[in-house]
Amino acid sequence: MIRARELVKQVSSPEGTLTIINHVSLEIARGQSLALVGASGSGKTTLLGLLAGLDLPDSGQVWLDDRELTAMNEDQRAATRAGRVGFVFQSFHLLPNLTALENVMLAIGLAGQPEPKARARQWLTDVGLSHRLTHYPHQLSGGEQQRVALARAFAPEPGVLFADEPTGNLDQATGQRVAELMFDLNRRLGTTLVLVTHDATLAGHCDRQLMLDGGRINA
Amino acid sequence: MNMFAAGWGMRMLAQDWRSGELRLLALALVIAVASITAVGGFSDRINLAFAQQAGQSMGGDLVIRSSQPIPPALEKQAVQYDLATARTLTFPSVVRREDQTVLATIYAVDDNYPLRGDLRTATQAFGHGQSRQHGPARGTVWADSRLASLLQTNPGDSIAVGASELSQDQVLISQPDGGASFFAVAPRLLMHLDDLAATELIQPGSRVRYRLLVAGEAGNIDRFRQQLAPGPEDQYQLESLEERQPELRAAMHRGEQFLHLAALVSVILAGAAIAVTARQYSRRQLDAAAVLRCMGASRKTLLGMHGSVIALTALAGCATGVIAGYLAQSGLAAIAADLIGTPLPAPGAGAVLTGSLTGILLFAGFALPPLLEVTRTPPGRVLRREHSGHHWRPALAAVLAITATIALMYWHTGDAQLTLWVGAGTLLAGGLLALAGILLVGLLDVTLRRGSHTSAWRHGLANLARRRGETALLLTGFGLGISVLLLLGVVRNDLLGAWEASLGEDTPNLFLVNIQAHEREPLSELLVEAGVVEPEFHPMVRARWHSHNQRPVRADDFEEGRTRRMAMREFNLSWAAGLPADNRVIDGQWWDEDSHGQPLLSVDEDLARRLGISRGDTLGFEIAGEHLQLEVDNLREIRWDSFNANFFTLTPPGVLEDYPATWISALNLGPDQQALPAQLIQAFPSLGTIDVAAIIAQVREVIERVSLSVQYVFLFTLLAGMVVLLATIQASREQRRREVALMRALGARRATVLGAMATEFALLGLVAGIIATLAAWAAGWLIAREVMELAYLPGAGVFITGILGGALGIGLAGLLAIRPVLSQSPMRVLGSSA
Repeated sequence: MIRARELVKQVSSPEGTLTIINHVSLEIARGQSLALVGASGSGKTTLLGLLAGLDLPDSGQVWLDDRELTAMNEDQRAATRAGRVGFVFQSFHLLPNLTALENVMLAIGLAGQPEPKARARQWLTDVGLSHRLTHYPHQLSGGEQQRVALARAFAPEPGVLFADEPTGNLDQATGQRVAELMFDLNRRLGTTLVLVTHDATLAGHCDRQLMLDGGRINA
Repeated sequence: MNMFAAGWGMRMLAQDWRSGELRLLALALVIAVASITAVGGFSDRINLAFAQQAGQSMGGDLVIRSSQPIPPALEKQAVQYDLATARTLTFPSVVRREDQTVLATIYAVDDNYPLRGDLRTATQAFGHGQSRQHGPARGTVWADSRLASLLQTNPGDSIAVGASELSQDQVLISQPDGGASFFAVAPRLLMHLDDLAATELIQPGSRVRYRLLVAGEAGNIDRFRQQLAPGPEDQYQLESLEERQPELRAAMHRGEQFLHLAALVSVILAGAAIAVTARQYSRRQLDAAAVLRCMGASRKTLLGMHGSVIALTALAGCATGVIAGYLAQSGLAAIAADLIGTPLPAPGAGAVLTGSLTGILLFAGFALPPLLEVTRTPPGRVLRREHSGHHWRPALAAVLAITATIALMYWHTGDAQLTLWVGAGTLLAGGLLALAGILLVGLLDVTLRRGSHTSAWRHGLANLARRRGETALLLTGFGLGISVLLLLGVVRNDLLGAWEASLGEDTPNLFLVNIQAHEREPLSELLVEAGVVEPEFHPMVRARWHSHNQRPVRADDFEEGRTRRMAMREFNLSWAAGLPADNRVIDGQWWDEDSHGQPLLSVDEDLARRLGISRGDTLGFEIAGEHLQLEVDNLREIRWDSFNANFFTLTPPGVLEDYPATWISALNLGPDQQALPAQLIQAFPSLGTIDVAAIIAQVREVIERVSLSVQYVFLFTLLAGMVVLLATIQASREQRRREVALMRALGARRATVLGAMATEFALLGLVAGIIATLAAWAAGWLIAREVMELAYLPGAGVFITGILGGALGIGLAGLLAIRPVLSQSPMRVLGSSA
C-alpha cells in the first residue's frame, strides 16, 4: 500500500518559487492500478518520483507498506526499493553496457534473490525475447528495449511498479503490445501499479485515474 | 567491496573498455608510470655508479688514515669481513738524480694497491698513458710528470730515494687516490712498500701518513665500518666516499634535471588527460548510476561496481607502465653505457615502487573525485536530467589533484626549485588558459549580438559562446598540450644547445697553481709567446678558519666527516672586484666600489649551508699568524662545471693584498701545445699543473649522451601531450554528436556542419596556441635561467609553430574526430540518446 499526506514540492525558477506539487494526499491500495493523468507540466512525473522515493518533498510524508520513505536517507530508501519496487521509463533506461539477460539478472541480484540467471532467462522468454538474450540495448528496437525493461521491472516480483509514460517512445502498435504485456504481468503478479500517461486508452485500463492540474488533484 | 558489486563491475568493464575513455585513462597512466619508472631507475643506477666511482677515486671503498702505523688487528678484522685490503704510506722527502734534488711526496704502496680504479703510466712526461692494475714492482719507481720533468729523467734512469737507488720504470700519469687537488702541488714518486725499509727514510718523528684501503661488498663494508665507529678519533680517521669529481657530477646532475623535467611534464600531462577522461567517463555513468539507484543499489554497491572497474584499470595501467618503464630504463642505460667508467649497477626496486606510487597518487588525485561523484547520483535523474549529481566542488578536486602532483614531483626529484618552477608554471599556464576561455566567450557574445546573418563560421562561434565552461576546459586542455609539446621542442633543441655551447672550445683544460707574485709577468710573456691567450691570474691566500660569530670553531661542531674536513682544512681566500661570470648571487648583493677595502666575504652557498654560515655572520680567519674578521656579505651559487677558476670564498679588493698569496690561472691549450706544461715546469719549478682535459672530454660526452637520453624520455612526454589532445577532443566529441545530428536533422548541409566545427576548433586552437606559446617560451626561459643556469633566448620558430600549429592542428584534429559523427544517421544518434 502507498500513502501520501500533504505533499508539497517546490522548485526555484527565474520567475521565483514554483509549486509543482501542492498539498497532495492520496492512498493506493495493494494490487490497485492508478493512472496519473494531466497536461504537460501538471506535476505527474514529479508526484511519481515522490511516491517512489526517488525524490523528497519539501513537506509532507510518503509511506510504502507502512515504511515512511520521507524519514529515510537515500541509502535506506534504495534498500527499501530493492526487490519491492519496479520501474518502467519512457526512455527505457537499460544499462547500455550490459546485455538484455544481464540487465534482468542485475535487478534480481540487487533484490538479493536466488538463481538470477535462470530466472532472468525465463522472464525474457516470457516477454518474447528468448532470441535476444545476449544482445546489448543498442542492438534492440524500441519495443524490444521496453520489453526488456518490463522483464527487468517484474523479475524481482515487486509489490509496486512505477511506470512513467511506458509507451511514450513507441509507435501505436508496439505501444499497445507493450501495454498489454505490462497489464498482463501486473494482473498475474497482483502488483500495485502507478502509471503516468498522456494516453487516455492506457489510463482507461487502470482501476483508478487521478487528474493533476497545477500540482493539485482535480478528481 | 562486496563480491556481488565487484562481479558486476567486471561485467561492465568489458563494455566500458570499448567506449575509449577507460583505454585513454589507462594509457595516460601507463605513460606517467613508465616515464617515472624509467627516469627514476636510470637515476638510481647512475647514482649507485657514482658511489662506486667515488670508491675508485680513493683507491678503495673505505680508507682508514692515521699518523701512526695502522694496527695489524684492523687489517685482520677487515679480512674477517671478507674485504680486500691494501696499505699505503705517504711522506715528503727529497729525491735526487745526479745533481738535481726535488722535494717530492713519496707514495709507498703494496702489491694489492689500488683496490678500486686503476693507475695510468706512460713512457714520457705528460703522455697519454695506459692503464695499470698494480703499482711499481720492487726495485722500481714511477715519478709523476712533474717530477720526471724537474729531474729530467727517462725510463731506465735511476733515482736516489734516501739510501736506495731505484730505477725509474714508467712516468706516473694518474693514480686513483691522487685526484686533481689544488693543494697537492708537490711532485710525486710511487714506490713499492717493500723497498721502504732500505731507504732508511722512516725514522721516529717522520711526518708519515699511513692508509689502509678496504674494498668489498657494500654490506660487508658497512658492517666493518659500524664496528670501527666507536674507535678513538686520534688514532685513526675514516675517509668516507667523497665526491672526487665535482665537475662530472655537476654535469650528470644537470642531465638528471633535464630527465626529471621531461618525466615531470609527462606526469602533469598524464594528470590532465586522466582528469579530462575521468570527468567524461563519470558523466557517461550518471544515467546508469541513477537507474541502479532506482533498482535499489546502495552507494556502497555503486562504489563497489565502479571501484572495481577503476581499480582494475588503474592496476592494468600501473603494471603496464612499470614494465614499460623498466624496459625503457634499460634503453637509457644502454645510451649511458661506459659513460662514467664503470658498468651501471643493476637497478633497485625503488624505481618500480616510485612508479607504482606515482600511478596511484595520480589516479587518486585526478580520477577519484569525479568517479566518487557517480556514486552520489540521485535516482531522480531518471525522471529529470537536471538532477545531475555533480554537487561536488570542482575546486576541491583541483586542489586535491594539484597537491598530489606537487607532492609527487617533489618526492620524485627532491628538487624544490624544479618542482616549484614546473608546478607554478603549469598552474599559471592553466589559469591563463581558463581565463582566456572566459574572455573569449565574453568577446564572442558581444560580437555575435551585433550581426544577424547566419553562416557556418558564425554558428561555430556561437557554439563556443554558448558553452562557457566547456570552452574554458577545452582551451585549457589544448593549451597545456600545445605548450608542453612546444616546451619539448624548446628544451630539446635550444636548451640542450645552450648547455653544449656553455662548454665551448675555449673552456680551460689546464690549471696552473702555486704561481708566485713575481712569476706572473714572465709566465704571462712565456705563454703569449707560445701562442696561448694572455692568462688571467687569480690570487689565493691560505687561511685557517678559527671562529664563527666570535665562537671558536671546533671539529666536533660538525657531524658529517666531509663537512668536518671542509671546516678544518685550509681555506683559499681570493678577491675579486666583479662577480665572476659563472657565479650568481642568491642572497645579498655583489659589492660595489664603496665596499672595496671593507672586511666582507662572499661565500659559496653550498659550503655556507654545510657549515651553517648565514649572511651577516662574522668569520674569523688566521692568515700567516695574523687574525682577520670578515663579515659574510653575500652567498653565491657557482657553476663548477664551467671549468673556470672559482673560489668558495671571495673578499672585495683591498682586504687581502698585504697577506702572502700565490696565484692561479686557467688556460686553454690547443692540441699542438701539449709540450707546454713540461716547459713551464722547467722554467718555473715551483709551479703546479693540473690537467683537466680528460674531465672536460668526459663532461662533453655526458652532455651528448644526456641529450640523447632526454630525447628518448621526451618520447613519453610527446605521447602524454598527444593523449591530452586526444582526451580533450574525445570529451567534446560525445557532446557534439547530438548537436551535429540535430543540425543535420534540421537540414544543415554537410559543408555547413563541417565549417561550423572547423571554425570552432580552429579558433580554440589559435587562442590555445598563442597562450601556450607564451607559456612555453616563459617556462623555457625560466627553466634555463633558474634551474639549469644557462643563457637562453627562444627563436621565432617557436612562436610560428605554436600559433599556426595550434590553429591548424587542433582545427584538423577536431574535424577528423567529428567526421565519423557526420556519417552516422541523425535518427540513430538522437534516438540512442533520447
